[in-house]
Amino acid sequence: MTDFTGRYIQVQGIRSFIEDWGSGQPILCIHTAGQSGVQYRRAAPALAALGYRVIVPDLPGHGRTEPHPDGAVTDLGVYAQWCVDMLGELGIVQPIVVGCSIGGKITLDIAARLGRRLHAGIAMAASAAPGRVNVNGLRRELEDVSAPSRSDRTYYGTRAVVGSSLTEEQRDLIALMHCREDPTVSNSDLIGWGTHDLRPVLAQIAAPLHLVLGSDDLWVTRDLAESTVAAVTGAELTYLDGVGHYPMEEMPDFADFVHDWLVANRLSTVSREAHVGNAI
Amino acid sequence: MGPQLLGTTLESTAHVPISNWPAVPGQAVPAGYGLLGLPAAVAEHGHGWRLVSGTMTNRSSIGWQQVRHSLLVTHVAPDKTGTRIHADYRLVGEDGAVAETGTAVFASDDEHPADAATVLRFATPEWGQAILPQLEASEAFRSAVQAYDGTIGIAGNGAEVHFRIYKGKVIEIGRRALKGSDFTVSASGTTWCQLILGERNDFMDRALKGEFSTTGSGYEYLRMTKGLVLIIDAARAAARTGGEAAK
Repeated sequence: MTDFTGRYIQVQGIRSFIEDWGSGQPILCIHTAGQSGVQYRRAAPALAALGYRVIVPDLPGHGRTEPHPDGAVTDLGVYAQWCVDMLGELGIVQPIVVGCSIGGKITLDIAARLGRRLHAGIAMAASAAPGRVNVNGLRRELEDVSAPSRSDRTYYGTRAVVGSSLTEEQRDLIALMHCREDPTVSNSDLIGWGTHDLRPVLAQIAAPLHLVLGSDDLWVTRDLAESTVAAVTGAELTYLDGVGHYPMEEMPDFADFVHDWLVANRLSTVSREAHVGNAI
Repeated sequence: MGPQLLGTTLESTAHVPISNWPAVPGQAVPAGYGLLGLPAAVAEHGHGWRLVSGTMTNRSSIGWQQVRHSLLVTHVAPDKTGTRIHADYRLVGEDGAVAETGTAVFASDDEHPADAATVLRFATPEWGQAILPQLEASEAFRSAVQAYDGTIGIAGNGAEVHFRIYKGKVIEIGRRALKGSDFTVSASGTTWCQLILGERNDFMDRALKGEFSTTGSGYEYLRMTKGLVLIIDAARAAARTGGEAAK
């Protein structure tokens, strides 16, 4: 089975944790609000087995990465620049970037920042417009006294937005894993989700862009995803039936899904046959 | 025997012409409007119900048009002469768009004991009492509300029930607690029907989709997230067992 190297690197002066899987064409995988790279624990080795080098970071304040020196981040642009700088620290050029939810918005942001220096972007469960959340309520809940039953709400709220094709056990596992969040970091991420507006910079995106949206995703509407795709030349949208807000955790064939899109668009330099021996 | 009417959708097969009376949401709909077609629509299914009242809640278009009637039975209760049947109705245009939604009440001479069971009269005090054995048998519920001293309100179909809870136990169920509820969760009859009779407890999905509204303390509402989910679990279990708590 393909294995990974876990290590700490300095990014913007922050001691930052990354998983580094396999070797080959580089793919950066960005997690969702309040979560960590553990969300790609099944997808990353599968992508590596296909012949990619997969970088899975914990964003500042998440998982094993130390907090941002300015405190919990409410501007997703801060994460986007951190990702760009992290890739620079690793000497990675022309990356493929995959992200989900806030990670999807960060993917769009990175695509706008890097222009032609990005090889391709796959933004899942996200659109360019600010996400629909109660930002004022989230700001209030940054005070602990205003944030009751946090674990219950994360548990039930996560279960509500995974796909209908999953079993109860799969739904439960995803929800339980998501309860490992830091509430202040999660809320701050969601404030970023509700305020980060990428519509003005979509024209700067020059790399091939693939938006992915599940039919059971209650956080993002199809209209919003379609309007984002319409604003980016050559971008495409895939609508996944029975999938919710977390495709990389829900789809057993997620790695193939990514690889097939890259191959179909002549964006993959990986030969599936050449690397099949890396699989289990 | 399970309910035959509750949760059932009755649809007319033919489109009929209506004139769009310029009523406003919340007002009783005047005679002569498309509601008059409702008895004919249910008659197609063999029911001789009499329309008692109807209230429009939303209308999206104005003008003459052809519509088909669609009703979801949301509440069935016995009355002096037979049965009262509540339904959420929709008028659907030829293009498939919903032209109007609202609620309607019918009278029926027939008895429908299975549909009128108290465990199916959602958000009424009788319903609260009927699901109490399930709540009392639930260790998860007791644990979830063990640090709560307050009142949860649940409303729908024009009814409301208050659960007074203290240290893990429901100590009173009634139409209104003396000091009111900390918060009340409201939804349409359709939502309660689908939530209680559906395949799984999708309360949170529906809450995220905006099918529920709350009044009162938002803080206590959030604090009681798990308690609410477990009340709905109890209601769903009661609807399936007729109110008998699992041994």
